[in-house]
Amino acid sequence: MENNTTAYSLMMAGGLLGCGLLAYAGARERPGASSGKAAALAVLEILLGVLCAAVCAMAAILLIRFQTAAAMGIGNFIAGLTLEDLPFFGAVGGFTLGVYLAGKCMKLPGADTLNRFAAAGAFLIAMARFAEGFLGLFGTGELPEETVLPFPLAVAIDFSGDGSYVEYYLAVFMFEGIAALAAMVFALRKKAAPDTFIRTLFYICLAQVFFESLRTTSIAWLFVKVEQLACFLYAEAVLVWYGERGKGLKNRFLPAAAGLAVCALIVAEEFALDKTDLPHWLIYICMGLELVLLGVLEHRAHQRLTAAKQ
Amino acid sequence: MEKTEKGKEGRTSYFYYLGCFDPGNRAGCPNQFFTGRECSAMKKYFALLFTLLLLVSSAAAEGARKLPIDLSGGAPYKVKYSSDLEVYEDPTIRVERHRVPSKEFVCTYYYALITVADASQLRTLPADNKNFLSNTRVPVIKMAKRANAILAINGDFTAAFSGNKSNTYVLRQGEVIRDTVEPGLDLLLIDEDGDFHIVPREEDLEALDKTTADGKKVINAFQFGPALIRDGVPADDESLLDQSHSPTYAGPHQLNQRMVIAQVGPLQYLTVCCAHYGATLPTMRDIVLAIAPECRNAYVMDGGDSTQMVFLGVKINNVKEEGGADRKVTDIIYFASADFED
Repeated sequence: MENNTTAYSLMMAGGLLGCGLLAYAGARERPGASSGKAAALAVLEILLGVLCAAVCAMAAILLIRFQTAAAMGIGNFIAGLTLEDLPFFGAVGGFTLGVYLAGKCMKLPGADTLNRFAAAGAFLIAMARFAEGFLGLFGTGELPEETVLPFPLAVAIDFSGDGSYVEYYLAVFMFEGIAALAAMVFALRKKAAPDTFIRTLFYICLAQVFFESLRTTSIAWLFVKVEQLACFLYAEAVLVWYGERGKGLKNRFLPAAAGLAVCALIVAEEFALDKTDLPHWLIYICMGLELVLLGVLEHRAHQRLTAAKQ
Repeated sequence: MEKTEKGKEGRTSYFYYLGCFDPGNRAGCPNQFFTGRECSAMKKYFALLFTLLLLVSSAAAEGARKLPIDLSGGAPYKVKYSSDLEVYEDPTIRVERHRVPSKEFVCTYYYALITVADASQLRTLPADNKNFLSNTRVPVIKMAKRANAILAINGDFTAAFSGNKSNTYVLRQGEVIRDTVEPGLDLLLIDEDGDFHIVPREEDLEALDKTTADGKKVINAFQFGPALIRDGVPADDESLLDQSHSPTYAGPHQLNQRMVIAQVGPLQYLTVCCAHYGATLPTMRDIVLAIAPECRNAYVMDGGDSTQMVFLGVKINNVKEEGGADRKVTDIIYFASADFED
């Protein structure tokens, strides 16, 4: 069971190309934007995005594993890192920073640049997730013993090299990719409306809280998964920000309060997954419903904010 | 068949006639028909006979070979697990497993006695089959099946990265994976001859050459602990109950599930774990001594819900009800057969 790094690299290259084209299309829609300027912005967004994503992902894992990095020596620690060690939220955060900086370099407003990039970013996330299918167990989730499901629900991983011993794993990377594509459709429909970027990322993060729980490979402190925590912190920050912006509105912090309640429930559910014999399917149904509820609350809160503004 | 604490049932194993694996007898020979001297002579006779048998059968076994020091597995299973199968034996390995509901220790414990023909049959494997420090976690049973493990147990949760487990020393299948140490934890080194060497935390673990032990190459090293028995000397209660000598969250004084690996003779090992209501570390030491009074080195691996013992691809301790899933862990220790057909 070796990683197919060639296929992974090709898929990521294709993802970057598609992302660049979507970024170009988004930039071209800006009033008065020439095709040359839009192309320059798209290229700069990709270049700075990739650079910042790599730097921020490494910085994130250094922070998460600081104790180990300090003991090993930071140089040795970084030299020993593999693609699978880098946190996804670090890469997404870094790419966002790169896109923002690209807009600033072109003397464009940062928020508008990000909003126009939202669909392209969601597409790149989807491709990155689909590409995880070439990294062995990395993007997969545990299936009960003897459960056999077809692709794209599950993947068969051959550990023997000759097909004599195969294990089936849930194709979590496919679900994550499809969720990101759904977020891309949302962003395309919103075009460059205000808050498109933060809302697209909000929905991707919400889905990731669920999918991260399914993954066999996840950076964790005991039963706390770091990606889940980061995604949740982002989602909660958005809901608190909505509350701050909704001065004069009734129950404006209700979604943020609900977010905290959902966080507590998810912590309890993760604990139950690790420590109890409760059926996992039941726990995941509860977790899914809570996250859908949070998504609905965000949508309604945003609608109220927009209505109040008008 | 369940073996009782008194050891009257199923005592067909030649190990019992050596007098060193009887849970109910810590010092003397289990057979009351012989005097102490006769018993001692019998022990030597059977030990010699067993060694000769093992050597002859090993040499005669077609295809038996030393396993490579890498992440490959052992020879494919030749028999299927069944609940009444207590002994697996082929020319290269013998595994005998027991479940003992004990009134004396107020717990049910599971143990396996393993004899291998070659040290290379004591092996380790990470969850993703590639990297011992990866963030991948799967239940022991999956890794055990991949590796064709005759008997597998959870390891020291190498990639835990929490509390004082963040910097533990990791050397697996002959390769140094992480060259840092946690100064508060005992270190278990297993050399190329399959012999255990426990380096106590009091030594300068950082300066120590951890890749060799007594001039022999170290193949696997673990840092969890503490040592229950070192060079034949059992650890005292005070030392075992000191939280600073255990990994964070191990709770040495609490009733926790625990996994212990021990060496009871040349190429002879013991793995012991207790059931879900658990045992303290001193109790685990006493259980090991009850099973194998002449045990030289015994060392604690990860416990709690990680405690999993798998025999021929089936978990044999704390079997979960339907719907319950086993804890996913980062690594296993296993014993494999080297009896390949071709």
